Amino acid sequence: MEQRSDEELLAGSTKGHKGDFKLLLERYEGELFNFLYHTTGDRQTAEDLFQDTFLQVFSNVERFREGAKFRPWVYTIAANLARDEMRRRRRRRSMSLDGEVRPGEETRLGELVDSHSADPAREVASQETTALANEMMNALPANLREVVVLYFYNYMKYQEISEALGLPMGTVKSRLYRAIREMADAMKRKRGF
Amino acid sequence: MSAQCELYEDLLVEEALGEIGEKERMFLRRHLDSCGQCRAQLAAISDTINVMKRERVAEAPAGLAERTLHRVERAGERFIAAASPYHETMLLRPSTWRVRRALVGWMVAASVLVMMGAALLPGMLGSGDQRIHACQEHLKIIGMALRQHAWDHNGMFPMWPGWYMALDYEYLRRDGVLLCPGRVAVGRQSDVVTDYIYNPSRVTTNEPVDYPLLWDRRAAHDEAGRNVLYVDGRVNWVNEEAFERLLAKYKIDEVAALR
Repeated sequence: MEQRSDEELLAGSTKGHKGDFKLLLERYEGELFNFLYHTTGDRQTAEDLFQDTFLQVFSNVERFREGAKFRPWVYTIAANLARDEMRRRRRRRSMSLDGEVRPGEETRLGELVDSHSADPAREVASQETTALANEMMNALPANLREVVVLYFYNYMKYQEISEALGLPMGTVKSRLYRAIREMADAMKRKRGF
Repeated sequence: MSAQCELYEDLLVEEALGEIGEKERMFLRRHLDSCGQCRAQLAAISDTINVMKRERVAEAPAGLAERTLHRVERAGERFIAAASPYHETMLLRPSTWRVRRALVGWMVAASVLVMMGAALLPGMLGSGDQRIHACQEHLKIIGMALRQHAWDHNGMFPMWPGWYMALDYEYLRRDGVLLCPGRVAVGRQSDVVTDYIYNPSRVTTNEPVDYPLLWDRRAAHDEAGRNVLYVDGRVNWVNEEAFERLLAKYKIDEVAALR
């Protein structure tokens, strides 16, 4: 079992140890892919952004300050790339003549709610739950969505999210609460309450 | 939702998340007993949280780490392809090394003239020996950029892999020089950025003067030997036996070194 810290592996990478860089990649591929997938809603985009994230890590490694933590740094890069991607999608969508929304693209909560008929069942099936969660997530603005993803899917505590995104803990909490309220409102309308 | 209910907005979320304090819970309960709207809101928030918690973790696709590593290794290609014109070989910044770098800049400019002369006269590149010399000029130019980088980074040469990318940003804004004239003659894949092999160890300017920094691929010119750039900026043609002794002497990773 690899016991070395992320920072030690990064330092090893800068000394030319390719194996250290690979270990770092393997250590983060699960959680960072998960974050990017749920943030963008698309597996291929998540994979591309994961690669872009480590490309930036590599090309900026000399800017990584001694004593700094790797995890917040890599999450900051990934979150910035995901935000850029979402911005690009919005631009593409606004330029689209037919206004069609492709899978994984953002929708407004209102559109989402209107597009579904009310479901009288109290319990939703597993597939529906996943689809519903994805839809609710996609309807959120990027800055709320990334907090939701880290909290629910990456199982991070407020303090960890605060470090990962470089935000004050109060901001993390208020964004999470706001996101949950917006999703709950959509859920209520969807269920006809 | 009434103005009074808005006071309870955050508490409803805290309650649903199970993060509410005892005092706050009692405070909230008193309000919920008399407010159907907030009870409905709490139910909706709890439902939402349950849906989010039931969502599965997305598994990373197989081989993602390997593909990423491969891409990082080849990362500099796009930057090199977008490199600046010839005359912007060096970018000088105000620093204590300014004078030193200006000198290096003149030396590089002179080397570029030699190289351009060779390129303008195809006959000069006709023979193997001439291609070996042209290749040595390339290595000298790269060597100066590498040393300039080291001066700016406490004696550390760029890390491997992606060394050329570190140069491309500030020290070596010119394509063509990363390609070996010997390989040009025999042809190569169109997407290759550099023909040269960089020492995979983390190299500093404190290494012995015959420590190899960059070298030709095997059989770039012929099977007998290859050009080698040393830490001190010299470039020599060495035969394969001597080259392998050099690798053994400094315990350089042979797999990486002999590609």
